Amino acid sequence: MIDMSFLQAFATAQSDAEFARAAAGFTLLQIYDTVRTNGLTSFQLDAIRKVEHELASMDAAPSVRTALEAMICALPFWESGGPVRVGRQATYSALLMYGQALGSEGEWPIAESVFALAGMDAELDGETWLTANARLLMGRAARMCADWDTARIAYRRAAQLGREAGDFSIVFRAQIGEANILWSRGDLRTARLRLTSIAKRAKQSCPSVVPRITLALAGVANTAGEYEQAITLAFGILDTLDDDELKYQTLVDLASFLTDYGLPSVASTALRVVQRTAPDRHVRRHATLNLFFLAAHHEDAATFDALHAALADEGLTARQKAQYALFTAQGCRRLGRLSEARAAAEQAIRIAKQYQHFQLVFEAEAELRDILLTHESASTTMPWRSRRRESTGVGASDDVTPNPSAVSIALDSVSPGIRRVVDSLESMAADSELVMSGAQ
Amino acid sequence: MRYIVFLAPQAMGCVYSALEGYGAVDSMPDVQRLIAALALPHDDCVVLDPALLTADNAQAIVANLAQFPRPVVAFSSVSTAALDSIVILAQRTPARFLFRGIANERSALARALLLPPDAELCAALLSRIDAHMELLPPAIRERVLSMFRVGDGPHSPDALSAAVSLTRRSVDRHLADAGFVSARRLVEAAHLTSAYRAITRSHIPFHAIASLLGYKTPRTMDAQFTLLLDTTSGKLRARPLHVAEAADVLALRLTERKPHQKSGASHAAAEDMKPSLTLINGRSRPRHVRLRTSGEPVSKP
Repeated sequence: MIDMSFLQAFATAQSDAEFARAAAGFTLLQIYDTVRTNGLTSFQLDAIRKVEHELASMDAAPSVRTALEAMICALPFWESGGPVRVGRQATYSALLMYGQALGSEGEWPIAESVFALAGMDAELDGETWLTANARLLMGRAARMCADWDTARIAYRRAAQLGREAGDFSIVFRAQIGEANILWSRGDLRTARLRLTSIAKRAKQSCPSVVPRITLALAGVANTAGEYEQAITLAFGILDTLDDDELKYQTLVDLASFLTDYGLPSVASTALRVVQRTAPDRHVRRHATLNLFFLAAHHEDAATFDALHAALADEGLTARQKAQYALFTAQGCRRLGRLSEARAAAEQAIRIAKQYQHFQLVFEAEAELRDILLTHESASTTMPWRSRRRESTGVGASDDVTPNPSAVSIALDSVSPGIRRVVDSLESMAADSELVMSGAQ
Repeated sequence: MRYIVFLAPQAMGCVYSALEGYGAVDSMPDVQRLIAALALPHDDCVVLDPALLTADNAQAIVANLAQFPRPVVAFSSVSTAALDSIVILAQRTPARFLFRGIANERSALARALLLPPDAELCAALLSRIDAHMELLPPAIRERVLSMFRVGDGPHSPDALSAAVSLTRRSVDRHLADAGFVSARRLVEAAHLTSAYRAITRSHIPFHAIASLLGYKTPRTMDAQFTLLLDTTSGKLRARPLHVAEAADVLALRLTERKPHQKSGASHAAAEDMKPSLTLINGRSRPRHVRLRTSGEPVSKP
């Protein structure tokens, strides 16, 4: 199984560690492929042990390491288990975990191919539930790669298989994914209609997915410029959630909606709660990057510098590295450090080009142009013309791309509903600070 | 329903969340207590993490389960320690396995916990269809047996044929030769046996059971119950059938046709086949007979 996404990862690897991580995953997938085709032999067992040995000294994110270790554990049991074929189920589960871990590290093209492989093979073995999951995750990965057609096909198949497996959660999540494709592409009206109809059906047969639908509806409202509605919808589900992943996704999305509404300081409060309390490292890292974006546009130099230093030590994904450089450029320009801003913008362009994040290339080039203009304006003592829309921030959750730094509005002028949201978030932030200090 | 749970503390939350308050949880502090609890003749559902068991523990659990059968859900991460015990449990018990760390694991856990198969009903049913099962090729027989015993497995005739690495047509033919009505009916019967316990021995709402089984409404579920058991879920909860009686009716519904002497496409699993556009009751469609979109003739030929 030679997959283009892996070859691309090898070609664009920036460090030995990055190359080794991709190579370990690729080798394990090759071993999996031969075990599936020819059965398990001593050669494959030796190869698995070698990868295990390499993995011990490898610099990999905890989730990726756990998933690769799970594959190493599961492959020797491929044919074990009797009629239930539990060895195969374990291997497919490990493959899905690996894909999920790659996704959380931002390596969506590789994740997509892993999900595609797991889905195809699990379907051939009649593992309907695992196949449905694989197709659902593949739909998401394809959507993250802006591969809309593949995403739609994967979601449709996931819905069919989910129905067959009797899992309405998969069915509705696939339908939400399909609606998300619609609003990602700008068809807000159809997306809203679709989501409303899904919500109506989900309330009857699978109430646990209703918060996800509400969050998607909030995203649509935000994109349509109905910020207050977006904030109210997202905040409304916060208390009902017992799923950690969705809770933090909601908080990050809420922060994005608040930024767009014009309350960046409140958005920072929400993000700080995530940064302090989220159990997953990648969620905390994402929140920190969002905070850095807000600091670059709204906060003082001390906060900006502190977050800049905190993120410098983080293991960022390629996309996040490009965003980090871009936000550094934006913050430095705002604070008048033009030479630093220029270097950062050039770095953002280089990284974004290398990893083919073209939207970021475009934004970084626009930023570089602005830096040069500012430089010229400064030399001719012309005042800098502020713009409402400066750049696209970090995707709050993967489903929401926040608008840029909006014009801030005063807290006194917001409606009572929004005021209540602000008060609750401040109380949550105070609680999370207490938890942090208690833990320390 | 009562659950004997032996899991790591972080997994306990998942169990409580999946149960949504239906059922009492009895948490075991150590493996010795678990083994002792399994040596008693109750039919509580057992939820355990195989990673916390040694091979000897797993063997002891297998021995106790053989003596007092009950549903088992193994909920674990993928690790070598877990897989060593998992293989022992998979080969010798009707355990259902769920691996942690996958999206939607909560819904799968909810189905495993809330719809554990009724061991008594399964045993009674399988003893009644034993003669038919013997006529099946080993691969299909094993798979169908595990479908009933584990309460999970192929959820459709297509998935069943994929699981046994045969074409759908071959599976249909083998089932027809063994005297089964259809693969679809076997799959539905496995659904029923996994819901039987929840219907007769719990207060889980019918719409929740229907949803967990993949039926859009309780009414759709009741239609299947009526087809297979001559009763609805509401009547069954109000007046549970005796297990032997339920097994008799179910066995009859699964094998209403006699084994065929000859196998052929026209005989195989008529219920599963879509209405043919060219055949009506196995005969060629006369040119003058028009068909509805459903495939039925407008008038009798």
